[in-house]
Amino acid sequence: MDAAGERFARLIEPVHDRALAFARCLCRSRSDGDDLFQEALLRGLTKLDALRDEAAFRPWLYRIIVTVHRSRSRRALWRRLLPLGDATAPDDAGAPGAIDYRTTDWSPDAAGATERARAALAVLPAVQREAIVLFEIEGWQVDEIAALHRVSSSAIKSRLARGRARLRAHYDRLLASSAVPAFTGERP
Amino acid sequence: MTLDETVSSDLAALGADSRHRLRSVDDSLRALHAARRSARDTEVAVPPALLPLASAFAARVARAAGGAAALACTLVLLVALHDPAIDHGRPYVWWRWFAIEGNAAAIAAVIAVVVLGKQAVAAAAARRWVEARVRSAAASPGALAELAARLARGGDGWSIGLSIAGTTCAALVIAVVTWTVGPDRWTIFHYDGAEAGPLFAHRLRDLTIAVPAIAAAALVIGRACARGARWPGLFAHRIATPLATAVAAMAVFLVFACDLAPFSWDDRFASAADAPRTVLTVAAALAIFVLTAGQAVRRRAASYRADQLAAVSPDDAALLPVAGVFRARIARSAGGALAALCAIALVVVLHNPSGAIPSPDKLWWNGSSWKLFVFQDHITIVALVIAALLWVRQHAAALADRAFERRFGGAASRDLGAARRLVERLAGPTAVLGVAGITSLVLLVGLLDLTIGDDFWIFFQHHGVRVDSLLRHTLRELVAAITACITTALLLGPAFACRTDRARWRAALGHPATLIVGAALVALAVVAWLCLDFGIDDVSAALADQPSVVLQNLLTAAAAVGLLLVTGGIAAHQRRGEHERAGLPPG
Repeated sequence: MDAAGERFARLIEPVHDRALAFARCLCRSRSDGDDLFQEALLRGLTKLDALRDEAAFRPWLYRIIVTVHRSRSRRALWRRLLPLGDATAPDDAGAPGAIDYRTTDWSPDAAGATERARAALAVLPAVQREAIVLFEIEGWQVDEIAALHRVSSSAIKSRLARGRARLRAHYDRLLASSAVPAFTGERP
Repeated sequence: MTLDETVSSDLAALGADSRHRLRSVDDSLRALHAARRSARDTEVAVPPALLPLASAFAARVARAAGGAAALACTLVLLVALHDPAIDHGRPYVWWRWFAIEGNAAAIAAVIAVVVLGKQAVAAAAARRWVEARVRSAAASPGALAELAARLARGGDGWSIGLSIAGTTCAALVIAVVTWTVGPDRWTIFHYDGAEAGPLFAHRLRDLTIAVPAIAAAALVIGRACARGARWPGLFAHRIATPLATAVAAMAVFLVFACDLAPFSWDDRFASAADAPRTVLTVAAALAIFVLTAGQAVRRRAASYRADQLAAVSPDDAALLPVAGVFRARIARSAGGALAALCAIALVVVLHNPSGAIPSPDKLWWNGSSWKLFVFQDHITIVALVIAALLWVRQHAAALADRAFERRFGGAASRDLGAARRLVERLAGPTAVLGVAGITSLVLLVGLLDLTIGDDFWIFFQHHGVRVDSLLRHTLRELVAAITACITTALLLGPAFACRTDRARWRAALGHPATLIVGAALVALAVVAWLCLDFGIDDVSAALADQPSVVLQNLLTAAAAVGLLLVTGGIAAHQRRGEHERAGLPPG
């Protein structure tokens, strides 16, 4: 391993698990999230010379994950707009696809909840999805997210509010279309 | 649980799940280093050389052609400014005055059109040349590699030298003459030459010395770059731009400190301040030269790929014409879209939406508003629009090249079938935008030229009922005709997009007879128009008989139909040719 690789290994160790979890939350499936994380690591290692302050490695790495996630989303959008019928198209990162609300699993166990959450996040635009995941799941503060996205705090608050509203609307549609009330108790 | 609580609970569950069964840091690092090694191996083994090499070669040829065109325009201007045979007392010989029958805006716009047009033609010709050479060399990897080596180095010196020479000389001549004559037409060099004395004569002397010197210096730099000399890199040094900017700032300071105002009839006997003006010329020449040379050298360093000549893959040879068609269609679409927008924008502007009609005693040649500077001569507007179209086409083509290389250039993604499908999908939008844009713009310029004449300024002044009613009618006709052209283009689009449907009437549209009929209709309408008198030449004349509205409408309709047939026919022809070039069924 060369010097850059060693430096990168030293820096990644404390943030590896959380960053991988973040990448998984952004994507439609865990395997997509692992791919996203791996691509971000490769890009990070290539651009390690650009990192001036090692104390800022975590936001720097997250910014790379966000950038890779957005370029994957854009590629997926172009492939949907201009399908070329090629078999090598990668999985769409966060593409909603066709959601069959009637078969949504409303079971209160963790697997059902995870699948619902992934499907719900998939309908959000990439910037709202990132903001929701960082705030609601990763526990970041608004100003930290604003610094990561390089926008104002009010922009982040707006993204969070709109993202939440879209999630609520999505769940509303799920409930309205659900053929089987899966809850034994009161419907949410 | 409320809905919000459900959402929060599900998100928390997702968070917990994402932290479950995580890969270890060591596994991630192992996979990372394997991917890094694989990427390095791929960079060495995969030859993405041909597509970007062809683009870089075509761009170099285009820059050389553009630079040569700019230099030629500069020489024509200098000859026209010098020509002792031009004498306003003699019979008017239009071509002697043509080069300088405009102000700085008009002349700069025309030069931009000539340069950009030359670049577009040269780039297209260079790409066709490369495709033809690649086709003949495709069977032999050795011949392909030799061709790639020629592409990497070909035209290097000329593109640097001519682009620096052309840009610097053209910019210098325009700047110096503009600062000498102000916003007036450059014919003032001859009309007021006697009164201006050394002010004009010595500026011509300065330019006559500077232009050949700049051209020679630029060609020396180009030759040095071609031979691999390192000293041209000084122009790309980070101190060069601030230095050139400082020289330019000194020139501006000189202008204000020495009160170097343009020629004014009222001050025609004032001192010409000869020495400071010569210093100003030299400073401007140095600043522009250093900036242009620095940009050219930096661009060369970014695009030079002589050291990346891996074995060129024969697969790239098949992709090259498809890339050329993709580029051409994107460029035409972008140009057509801008042409349509410009036509619509010009119609809106000519309606004079700001509405302020100046008082009748405010004559159009008084004052120095931007409208006067730009609309004084309609050729400025037309040239600016054409220059913008060519510029947008050039940049859209460059973006298309990069996008195509990124999508299809790598070994893993080289998919000829997908590339052809992509190009085929573009046939419809390209036809729509191309036909709509060009027809609208040509119709607008032609209709105005034939009805109103040379000066668009007439739309911004009040001339009485007679002229104003003509202007209103002309604008209504324009709106109707452009709407009809855009609608027809939208109807053409699906026909061009389908492979087999409507193939017969696509073939009829592309038949030479259609083009002849269309051209004849346009010619007939133009000749008829030229015979009519709309009474614009002398707006102060008494009420005159104008041609009937029905006749005008018929002529407009004939011209619009003729233009649509011509542009539609050309579009059908281009579609067929491009499909053959890309290996698609002609349909």
